[in-house]
Order: sequence, then structure tokens, then C-alpha cells
Amino acid sequence: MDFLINILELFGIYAIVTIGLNYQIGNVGIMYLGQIAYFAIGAYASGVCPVILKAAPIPSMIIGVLISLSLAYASGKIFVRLSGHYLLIASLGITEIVRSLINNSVVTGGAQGITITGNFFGQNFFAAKHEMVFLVFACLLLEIWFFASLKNSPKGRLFAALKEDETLVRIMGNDPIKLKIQAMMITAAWSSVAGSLFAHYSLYIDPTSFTINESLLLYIGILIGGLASLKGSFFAAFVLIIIPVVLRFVQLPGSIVSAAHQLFFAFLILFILKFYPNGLFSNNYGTHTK
Amino acid sequence: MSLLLQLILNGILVGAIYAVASAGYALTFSLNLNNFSYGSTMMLGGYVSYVVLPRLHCSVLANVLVLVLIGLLAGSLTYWGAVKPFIKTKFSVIPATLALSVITGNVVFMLQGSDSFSIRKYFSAPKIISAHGVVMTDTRLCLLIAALSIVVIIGLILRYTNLGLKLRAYADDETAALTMGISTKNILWYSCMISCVAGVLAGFLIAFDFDLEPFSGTGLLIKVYTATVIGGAYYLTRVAVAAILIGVIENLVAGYLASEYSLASVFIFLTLILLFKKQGLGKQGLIRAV
Repeated sequence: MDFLINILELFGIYAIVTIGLNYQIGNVGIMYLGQIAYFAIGAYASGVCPVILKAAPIPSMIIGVLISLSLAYASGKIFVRLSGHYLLIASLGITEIVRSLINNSVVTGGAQGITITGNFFGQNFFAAKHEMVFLVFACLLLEIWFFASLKNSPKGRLFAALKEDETLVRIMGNDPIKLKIQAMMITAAWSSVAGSLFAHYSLYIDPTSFTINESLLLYIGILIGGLASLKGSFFAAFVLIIIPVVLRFVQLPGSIVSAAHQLFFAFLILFILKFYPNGLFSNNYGTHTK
Repeated sequence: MSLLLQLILNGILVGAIYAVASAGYALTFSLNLNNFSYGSTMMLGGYVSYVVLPRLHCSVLANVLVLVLIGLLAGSLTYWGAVKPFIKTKFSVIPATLALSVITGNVVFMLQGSDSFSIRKYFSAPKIISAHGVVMTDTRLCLLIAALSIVVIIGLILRYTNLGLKLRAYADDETAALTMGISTKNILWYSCMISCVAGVLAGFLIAFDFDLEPFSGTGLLIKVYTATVIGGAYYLTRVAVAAILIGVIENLVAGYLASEYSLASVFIFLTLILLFKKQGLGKQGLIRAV
């Protein structure tokens, strides 16, 4: 039971990231993969702030969100004029820069990582693990509600228009640059929240969880799930979290077990891309065929 | 002072090898094809040399022939396995080639284990040449010459052969090339093959001097990709210069700061370039050197 709840928590945390990323890439059309950087910032804010600022978990989480927002604003200002491949590589750069700063800084414990002290439900509440699942899913529901209402708000329609035609948005008297930065900041904030939850979930974090590979995996996940679709985001989280767990039950010789998992994953990607080029749960909103 | 000179010299050497890889990558990149399995192809070149060289009695020439065959094979596999079936959908080629990269990495991992491999041990200790406190070995000198000549050969193929002309026409304007009677049917395949041959040769050169491991593909890919983006993809000389600059910066940072920052510094360099020239160094003025 504990095991199942753990998996559910991790699934929820990843779903929070993928929903944000999917909104940004699928609905707004910004190919920016810096999410893992904000995820790391959120996680480390939850790890470091209680130690050096003696802050409670919730304020630490908010500090993480604020740092992520400012980084998203700054990197948005720099990168927003780029498009396509250029934006992609630049966003991977943000991830790597944040990771190597964390890896080499004293405050964050460097490569050794850091143990999370304090939890959302009081200092000595050892059963807090089970409460985490409610917290994670509360955040997840809040996020789903947030993006659902954003989609139907005037701002959300502007974001959707931005994906279709940037010039049109400009003609209507809106600044596409400003809108793009806003979209980046929104997803950055949610990724940071997910990062804080992740820190409290795993109770120990180190820089190896926040590499470029993770960013690319998330990106592949939402592509095979389907852009601009909620089911697609859930599928991405499912593929990234649940499938490795399920595969753990298949008995394989120890030496090839990790390789076999990754091979399975790779062939799954190729299979889905071949037969569902727009992703499994694409709602055909703005088909991506040339 | 001699440390500075030494670091720059080392950087130029590494950069020249990156230049070979980037020249190959730029070939497909300029045709709007993102081959993310390229890093693994490079690693494969190193691995094949590691396996094959002792059986060929360390004959470098025979090994190069084997590698060219492997490169043609890898290029065909990339094209028919991960590019052709997915090219119709805009976002599918990147995840498909990434999946291929995962497959390559894990197959080598199954054969080799996680040990790193290098072909340095097959050759007798290199002779050391030193002048003004700067040290150079004769192997490294050969590597430098070999790397630069491969870049020149790729440049010559593009400049003077029929295939090169077709490639350049296709890169310039696909439709115009079609209307001028150039068969564009297999152009991508040919470019994949040439690019992968360059990739495996670069991997071979890297394996001379550095340790590779089954999953070093991503790191290599990132550097090659960055060099291509900075160089602007359409100009081989600029791509080569960008690659050499990346090698030098990486070495300087590793020498004066810490080697963990080297990848991040590459990205900061990229950011600085993109801040002022959002298309990289390419596409403005000057005669095309390709």
C-alpha cells in the first residue's frame, strides 16, 4: 500500500510538470524546455530555505516560486526572440547552468545532495507520507482548474492565438513578446511548485535528478501523449513513472535490467510516433503535420 | 602564461575534433533535420574502433575503412529507421532520433558494461614535443591534422561534387531545387550517411585522447549542436570556428575554474552570441564557404 501511494505521489508530481509544459508547448507554442531548471529551483528552495532562513515549508515553497518566476522572466527577456531550434538549445542551456551551479555551490550540498528537513504537516509527524498524496493531488487539481479556466479566459485565447499567428496578435494591439514571457512564467511557477513537492516526497535531493536528459524525457513524454491535451499530459507522467515500476516486476537478469527498460521505452516511443504521429491523445487541435 | 597557452592549444585540439563532428551535424541541420542520435553515433565510432583495432593489428587505415562502412550503415539506419517514417510530422523526428540514440547507447551498454573505453592503450606511448613550456604529443599533432583535413574533405565534397551541389540547393530552397529538376528523393538519406561517417570518424578521433562510455552521447551531442547553432549551419568554416572556440572555452574554464562548469560555460557563450545575433554567426553577408 505504501508502495502504491509513493508511486501515486510521484505520478502526481510529474503530472504537475507535464501539464504545465504541455500547456506551454501545445497551447502557446513555445518550444522552451527549461522546466527542469525551475523544478530544481523549487526542490532546492524547499531543501535550503528551512536550513539557512529557518523558514517553514510553505514560505520556502513560495520563495522557490519567486526565484523561478524571476529566472523565467530574465531568461524569457533574453531568449523570447529566438524560435525553434535556437530556443530549444537555449532552454537546455538554462537547465545545465542551473544544475552545474547547484552542483558546485556549498549551500546546496554540491554533488552530495541535501536532506530535506521539516514537512508540511509539522516537524515530528512521521506518518506525513500519506498526507503528501492529498497535498500532491490537491495541487494537481488546482493546476488543472487553473489551466482550464486560463484556456477560456481572454488571456488564454490570446495565448492560443499566439500559437496560430503572431502577427495577428500584434495587429490586435497585444505584445507577443510580453505574452510569451507571461506564459513561460506561468509554467515556471507550476514546475517550481512540483519541485518543492518532489523534495518533500523524496526527502533527499541531489543534482543528478535535474539533468538535460530529464528535460528531454519530459518533452518526449508530452509529444507521445499528445500536445495540448490533458490526457496526453497524464499519459506522459504515466509513461515516465508507472512503466518503469511495472517493468520492475518483470524478472530480468540484473546486468541488463536497466538497459532492457530503456530499450523498451525507446521502442515504445518509436511505435507510438509511427502509428499516432500527433500523440496518443491528440485532440487534433492545431494538427502538427506540415 | 604557459598554462594559458597550453589550455588554448588543448582547446584547439578538442575543438578541431568537435569541428569534424559539427561539420557532419551541420549537413543534416541545414536540411532542417535534427538528428539527435548523432552523439550516440559518435560514441559508436569510438566503440567500434575500440573493438576492431586490436583485431586489425592497430592498422589505423583499415580501421578508418571499417568506420566509413559503419558510418554509411549508421546513416542509413538513422534515415530509414528514425527519420523517413516520421518526417511528415513536424515534431516527431527529434523524439524518434532520441529513441534511436537510447537504443544505440543501451546496445553498447549491454556489450560493454558501464566501463569507459579508450583506444589510447593500443598505441605505444606518444613522443612529447615541448617548446616554451607548452607540451604537445605527436599523436595529438596527428589528430589535429587529421581532424582539420576531414573538415576540408567534407567542404570539398560540398563544394565540388554533384551531390554537394544538390545538397546545397536543397538546403537553400527545397521547392526551387525540385523545380530545377534536382531529384530530392534521397537527398536526406545521402546527407545522413555523409554526416554519420563524419560522426563516427570524430568518435574515433575522440577515443584516441579521451575516455568514452556508452552514454556519453548526450554530452557530445549538446556540444556539437551548440557549435552548429552558433556557426549558423550554412557555413562550414564558421561552424568549424565555432567548434574550435567551444573547445578553447571549455578548456579555459576547466583549467581556471572547475571542469564541472565547462558545459555550462559553453551555454553561456551560446547565450552571449544569441543575444547579439539571434541567427548565430550565419546567414549574414560574406560568400558561402560551403
